[in-house]
Amino acid sequence: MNKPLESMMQQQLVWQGKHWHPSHQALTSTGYAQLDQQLQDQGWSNGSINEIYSSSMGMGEMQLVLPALAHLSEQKRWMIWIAPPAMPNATALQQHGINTERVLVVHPHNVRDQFWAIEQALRSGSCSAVLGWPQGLSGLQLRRLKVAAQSGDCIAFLFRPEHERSQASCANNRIALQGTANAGHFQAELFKRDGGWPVTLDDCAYQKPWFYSTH
Amino acid sequence: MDMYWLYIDMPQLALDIAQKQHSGNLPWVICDQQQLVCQCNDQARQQGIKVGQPLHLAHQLAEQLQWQELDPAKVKEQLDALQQALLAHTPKLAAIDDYGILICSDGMEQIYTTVQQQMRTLLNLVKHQRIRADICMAMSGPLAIWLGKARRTQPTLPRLLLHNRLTLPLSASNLEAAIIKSFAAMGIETLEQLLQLPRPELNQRYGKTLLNYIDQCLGHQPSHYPWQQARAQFDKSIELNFEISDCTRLLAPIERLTQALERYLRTTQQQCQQIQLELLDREKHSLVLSIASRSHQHLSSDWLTLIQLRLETLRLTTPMLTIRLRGEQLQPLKTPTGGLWADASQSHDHGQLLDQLQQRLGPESIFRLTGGDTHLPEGQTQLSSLQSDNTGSSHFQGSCRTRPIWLLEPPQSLAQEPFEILDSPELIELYQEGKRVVRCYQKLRLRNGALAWGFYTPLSTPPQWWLHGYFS
Repeated sequence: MNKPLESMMQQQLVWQGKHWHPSHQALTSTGYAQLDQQLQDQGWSNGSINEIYSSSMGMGEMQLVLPALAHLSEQKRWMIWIAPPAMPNATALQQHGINTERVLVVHPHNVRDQFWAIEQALRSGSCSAVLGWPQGLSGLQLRRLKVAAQSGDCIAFLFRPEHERSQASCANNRIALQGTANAGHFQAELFKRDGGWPVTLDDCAYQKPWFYSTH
Repeated sequence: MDMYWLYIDMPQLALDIAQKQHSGNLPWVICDQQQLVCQCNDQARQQGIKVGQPLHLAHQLAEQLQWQELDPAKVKEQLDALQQALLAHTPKLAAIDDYGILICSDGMEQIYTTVQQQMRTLLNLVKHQRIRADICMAMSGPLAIWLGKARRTQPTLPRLLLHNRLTLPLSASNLEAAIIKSFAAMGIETLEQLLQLPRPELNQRYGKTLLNYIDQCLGHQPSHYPWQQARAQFDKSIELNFEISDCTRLLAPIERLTQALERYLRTTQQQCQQIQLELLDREKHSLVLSIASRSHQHLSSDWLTLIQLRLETLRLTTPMLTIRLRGEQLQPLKTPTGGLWADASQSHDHGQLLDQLQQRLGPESIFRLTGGDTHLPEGQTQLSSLQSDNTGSSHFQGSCRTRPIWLLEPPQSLAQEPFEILDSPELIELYQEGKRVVRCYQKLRLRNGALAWGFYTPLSTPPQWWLHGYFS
């Protein structure tokens, strides 16, 4: 093995296929059958870190997680939104079948507290999902979040700006979203996933409530 | 062993309180309102000062004499605090005059294996507060008090007075001075001698009061004392030996306080939902931290974790010298009950995470989503603090149209932003604070491809487009 690769592996910067173990845990669908087939557990895995990159709000970034949140809100655990970019609309969440009584919104005062809150929520075991909008996460911090998510049996969705996608990350799944010419549709590029090559889903339509409204 | 009684004698309590506030080995006296010395320390005694001397004479005997007038309120306050501290270790006690505490052994036999162990524990607790004290034991309350007073002048008397050891001097009893003098004239100076006198003659000459007192001493008649009740609130403070300006160094003394709180809660079978930590500097300026928990806590470690999180973000502007901890919202301890088939996820303590987030980030940083009773989209969803009483509604205004996931507060002008309209308008019209509000909501596509929710205000001059949310 060449030295640079060996060095990177020692620093745990390279994902190795031996870590791929299809789990038998309860599955949480993304709402897109094509995307589910590409993910390790045929959906979002418990204890996983999932990064979703978009250039701005309104690119369909929540569409991938709304079915999962609706499913997870049946549990008696919290779903915590940490440092969201705007006010979550409870009416819209209910239209997607999410029990808003399980939703907590946290607004930390600084970047350090953002990371602290995400890590605590993931590790606590009291949350079924943690949705975070962190700023400038380092590789080391991501590794800590991954360990925390595994120990708390919690799914982490980290919404990150498009310009940070070039940074290395140990997240289980990394997806970049872009708008398409067709309104109400978006393109999802799964550029990193456990146990598979990158794939791109060209035309993902918004979740069902969107169709009902366009009668 | 039958029920026994302990008496903690603190004849120099006023002097000890005064000396606690002033360090050094100076002669100290406490005088009464007539300016007569009523208490003096060893240094004063070495310079010839005695109890009963006029204060001006004491000043002549000791040049550096320090003195204070007896303050009964301060003594009572200290005695009350001491009783509260002792109540954590023994349940039944009463203050005797202004210089003693009587303790009944009722119920303590199961906790302390020996009398000596209980005496040692209680005496150490008093001495820890820098108060000189003596402790003794007898088989009745009046006899224990008598023994305690007698040991002031005869320290060789035994601490434990069991049966048939009644050689106590009458001069230390609670009998009137005239009666004691009368007995002394007859050569009767001890309780043992007094008991040999015939009861009918004693009754005839000194009345029923004397016989009642003797019977109470012998345990033949019950004695009544004002038993102290434990305060419903835990309140304890620690004065540090040196000032501390680094929050992390405060944790060790705070842990002692939380352990005392745990002990108090356990003794009184209570649990607590809120504590108040007060930090005082040299000038007695205080910084109060209120720490609440969603669950009822009674363990020291749980409180310490929450305090630690709060202190991590705290910067002290002045060094602190005193720490005070108060337990609030105390409730009787409830044993958790659960069905045989209880859901594992229900048993998990989700409140612990919220407590930790609130302590570190502040309670104003964590919100629930609640609904408002209005047709205006921005009023239909509210962020309510976990602390607030506004529970709101979890049922939101329904609509046949899809609502955006994000709402912008306040709406942003679209005057400079090109956009494409994607559907037909949805009219929202209502009166808001007496004004007619008309908005035509439509789905929009912005220049960057984002799906947005905007509205047109036909009644404004000029009519304008506003961006109100995003379909993400």
